[in-house]
Amino acid sequence: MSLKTRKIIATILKYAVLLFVGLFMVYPLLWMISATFKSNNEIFAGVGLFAKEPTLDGYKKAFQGFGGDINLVKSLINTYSYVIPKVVFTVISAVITAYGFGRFQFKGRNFLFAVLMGTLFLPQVVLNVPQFILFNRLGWVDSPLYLPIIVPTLFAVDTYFVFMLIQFLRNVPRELEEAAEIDGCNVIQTLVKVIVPMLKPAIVSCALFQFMWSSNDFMGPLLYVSTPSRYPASYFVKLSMDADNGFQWNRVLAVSLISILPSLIVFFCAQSTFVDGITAGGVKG
Amino acid sequence: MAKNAVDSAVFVPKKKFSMKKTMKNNMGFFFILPWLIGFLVFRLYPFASSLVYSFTDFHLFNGINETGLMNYQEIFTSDKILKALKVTFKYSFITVPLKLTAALFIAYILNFKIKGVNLFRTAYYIPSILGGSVAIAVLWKAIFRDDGLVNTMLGFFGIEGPHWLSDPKYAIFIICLLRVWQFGSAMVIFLAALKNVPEELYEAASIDGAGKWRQFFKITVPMITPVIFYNLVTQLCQAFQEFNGPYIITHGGPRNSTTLMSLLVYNSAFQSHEMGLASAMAWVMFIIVMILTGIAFWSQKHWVYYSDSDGR
Repeated sequence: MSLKTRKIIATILKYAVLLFVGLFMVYPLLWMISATFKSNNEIFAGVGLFAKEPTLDGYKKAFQGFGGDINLVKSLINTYSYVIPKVVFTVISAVITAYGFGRFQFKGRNFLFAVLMGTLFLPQVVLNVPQFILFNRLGWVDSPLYLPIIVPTLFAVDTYFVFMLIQFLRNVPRELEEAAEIDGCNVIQTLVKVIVPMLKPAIVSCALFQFMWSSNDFMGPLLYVSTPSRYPASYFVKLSMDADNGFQWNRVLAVSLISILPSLIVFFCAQSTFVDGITAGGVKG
Repeated sequence: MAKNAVDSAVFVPKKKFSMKKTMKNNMGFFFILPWLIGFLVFRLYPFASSLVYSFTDFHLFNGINETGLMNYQEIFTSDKILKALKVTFKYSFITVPLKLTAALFIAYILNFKIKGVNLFRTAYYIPSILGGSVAIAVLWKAIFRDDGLVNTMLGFFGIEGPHWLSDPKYAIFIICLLRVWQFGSAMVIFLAALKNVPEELYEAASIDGAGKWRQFFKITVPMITPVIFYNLVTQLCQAFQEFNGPYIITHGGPRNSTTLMSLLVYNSAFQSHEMGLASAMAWVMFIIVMILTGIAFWSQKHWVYYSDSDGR
């Protein structure tokens, strides 16, 4: 076999593997989309992606409530009513903290930085129970403002983002800040006028990851939201599955799909930012 | 006198300047103050108090009536909890190696000059971004139902598929598969690392007659061990805390074959309100994760290669 044919075979093999694995990755999602347009009799009758008799039945039923004080639209509004403040607060508090650690040699900085790094490895499973007890004492559990979910983000508790911003800040030259200082900017003006614009790419990827993770979050609402009218979409999806006796999969899958639609749209609009973000900081996930 | 005056005249502004600099540096403290408060209130205090709770019979409604080691005794004598520990280990030791292998393998192929690399990368990455959501767990249930997508496919080949989710033999693997399917984020990190492996090394190796597989194991893998190490630690931490998959898809069943520790912690804290016992279980988990991370860090010197230029 000549070198050339061997090369061609190797290339074909590579693409074959990529396509095969790609199919395994994407097919479930495509099948999910197609299933939402099928009738319930058809969903499990075949494996194809095209509905023989397309119907919007699943979607119609998805928007109907099934008793209780909650429906899909309301649950989506609930979700984003805490996701958006969470994103905004996380970005602001993480930028301020990263600025403090990245640009100032205050007393005890190195020790506190080690503490910050340590919290990256602190598993949430140890914190769930005592945090619940704390928020319960504060009377925040089932708060209409989602206090236990939102308030901690005001204090940069997701240190992962702080770490990511500090890493990014390391590569930002200090000359501009020094120039701003000579021009009479105080530290806060420097932060707002110089640092924030420079950090913009990192800030955007922090915001996007926090958006995704918070929209997908299930544990938080499970612990801290108990009034049905305040349920977020993630919990509503689970409810609609549990409430179903296994006959209306087009409705259940339509509800699921709609619940992740905002995340999907955001992902497709900002794909490269995700990939850059993940490689810049090395992301969990 | 005059000389002194000159000296001090020169000296004073200098001192003022350095004082200003220290003052400026100490302002940094005010910037990190919110984080410090958050750390103390929402991290350190809960963390420490849960250790205290773990030595009590703290019940959410009845308070504390007894203190001692009884929770830890219960953990190491209760069949249910020991089984959950075993299942958690099984889950992690299946999921993490498979996920990392898939991620590295695909990243390696993508690193050859592949056309449409962005398209493939996107396709592989989507499951990671959505996979944690309840919607995907619901989808998983639809796929692995008795008459779900997978069994329908098997049916075409005349194979009668097993009861994936109701047979204790298979259910745990389906839960694992959900996470393995999300290898995309680890893959993207590997891909970035592979791009940093110097081209000359491969050239030198192929002149020496090393085949692609030899190159992979003798050059690629050793050069990216720091990233393998990073992925290993983060994935391990995550696997030990897995909750959504088993909670939504199997509720820990059938016959507790997918009851991971995190589910038991949740059940005892938020169903039976035994905060003390739940804290103790969480601490056992925490210590296990710490030990495994410690082993990984300790073993670094035997297999992780840090080049001088790229001090990660």
